[in-house]
Amino acid sequence: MQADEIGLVHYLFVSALVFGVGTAVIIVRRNVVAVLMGVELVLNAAALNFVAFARYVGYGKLDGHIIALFVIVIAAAEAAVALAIVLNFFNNFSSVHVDDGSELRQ
Amino acid sequence: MKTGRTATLDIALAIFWVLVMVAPMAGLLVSYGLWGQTGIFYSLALLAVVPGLMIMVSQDIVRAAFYLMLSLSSFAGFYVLLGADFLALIQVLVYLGGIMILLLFGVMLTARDPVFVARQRSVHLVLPGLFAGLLVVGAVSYVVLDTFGTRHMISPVQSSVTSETSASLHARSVMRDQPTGNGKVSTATPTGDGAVLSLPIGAVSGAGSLTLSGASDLMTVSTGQIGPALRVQLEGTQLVSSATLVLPIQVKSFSPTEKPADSDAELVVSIKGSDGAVTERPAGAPLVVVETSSTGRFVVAVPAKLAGEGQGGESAVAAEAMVTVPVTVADGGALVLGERFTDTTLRGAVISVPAEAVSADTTLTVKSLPALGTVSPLSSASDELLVPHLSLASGIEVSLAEGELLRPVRLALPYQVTLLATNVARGEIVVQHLDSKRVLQPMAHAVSVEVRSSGVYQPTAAYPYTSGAVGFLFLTDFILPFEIASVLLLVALVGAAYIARKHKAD
Repeated sequence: MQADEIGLVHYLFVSALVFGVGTAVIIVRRNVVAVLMGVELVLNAAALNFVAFARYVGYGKLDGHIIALFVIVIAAAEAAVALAIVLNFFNNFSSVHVDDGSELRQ
Repeated sequence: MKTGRTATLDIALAIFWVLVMVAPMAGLLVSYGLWGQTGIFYSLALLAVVPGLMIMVSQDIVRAAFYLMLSLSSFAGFYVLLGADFLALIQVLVYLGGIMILLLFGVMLTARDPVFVARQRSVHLVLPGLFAGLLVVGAVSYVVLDTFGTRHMISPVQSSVTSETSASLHARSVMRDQPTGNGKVSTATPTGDGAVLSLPIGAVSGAGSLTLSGASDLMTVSTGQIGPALRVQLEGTQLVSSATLVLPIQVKSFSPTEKPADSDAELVVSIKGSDGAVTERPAGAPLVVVETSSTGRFVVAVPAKLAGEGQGGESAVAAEAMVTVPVTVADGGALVLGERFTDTTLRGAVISVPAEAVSADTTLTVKSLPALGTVSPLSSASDELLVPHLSLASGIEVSLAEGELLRPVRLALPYQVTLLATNVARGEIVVQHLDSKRVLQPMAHAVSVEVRSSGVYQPTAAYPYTSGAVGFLFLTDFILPFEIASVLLLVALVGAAYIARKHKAD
């Protein structure tokens, strides 16, 4: 493999980077919506892995694409439900700060 | 008010939005060869990672949402680069269209938090968060390097697509030398376009033949009547000086249009060896279906009704010196892979034959090509046959049941062969008709041969892009997950509406 050629490893690295950034966003941000954004980043990083593997080691099979589509579907469902929960949370606590939602912990 | 700073940020945001539009387009530029892939890739990588970091540091949740869209749009560009055009479109539609609006609605409806701005981030969590992120990156990078490091670097297969509707189809392989730790691995990928191969038997046996000739650096596939059909794929392996030739050929439907004059006639699909000799099919020769499974394993399907036939070792389905497995033709002749046969798996170099297919006096013999240097006969006691190499040059013979030609018969002949690149000999697939006197005759009627690897959608002229392929897969292999996902979306819709509703009682 030539050094200047984009291969599977490059995609895996980008995916890992985005995954790490998403993880950091989930941990650092305290706004629930921002946490959701971090989750979206993580999900997209995973989907990119599937597509990259399908491209480079899939021998023409498209199963990775299908999985990525399912990831997108699940991300959409997750965003819808999570935002509904956020709205409910906001109605009850007048806040979108995740640390305010610690009632169950006590 | 920091209006100046806000205006600057807005301008930057506008530029970012332009990039959002550009990101998928950039992938298209590469796919059309208008721009180098490397530069685009690294641009997209920056576009994916940097806005993600901006989400972390952004004070404004709305801006964070826009940064998120910027990052996710670069994924659409990645998908185009990876040849997943349909996925790129869906990414733009769902994320940039749907989830973006959803997030902004969430922000809009919850923006009255009085301490909203003051507690955007937990300062004490910044370092742990960054540490966790770096930990993830480091761990994944280690695994990636350990698994797919420079020694086993996987590069996309170079393919040159040649579509010729003329009498001959040449799928040329592009040889690529891959340095490995202990030698050179040659990977070749000749690619024809399309999936349907119409093979009038008379013409084939007369004039043309499906010739698979693999020199070490070139593989030529030509036939008399083959359209732009054959897809032959070579994959690299880690073997020294070897390559794996994945040649899935499936004779999907065999529907004789006319009853042959001789009702005892059989159809014999045999492969002529490099020396020109056609393998004789013994009387009552059984059928062996070798299929390449989705995981690249060998699957050898053997009719289970062998025991008691008394044909012993002479009823061999053999492609000459290839696989000699005494089996019999199942009744009827409607041979549908995976339904009638007990699929047994040949992983790597092991063929499993169902035990009921082996009687006590049956000889199971599996031999590799003599040219390959190793011959491994096995006894009937073993239910696993060791096959060092299935050679394409040795060929495979497939026969239908006698007197069953009137019925539409599905003859599945996908097979996968592994052959040493240095020993690739010249072979031909000849479709001939064995009459009642066991004399090979050219077939008078046509047989439709569809070249496809089972379970793998090959782009055709009708569906040249992955959209059709994905739709094909959704409605075939993934129909159940598709329905489950549909139900999930419906449940999410109803559940979101239920959760978010106003509680009147409170």
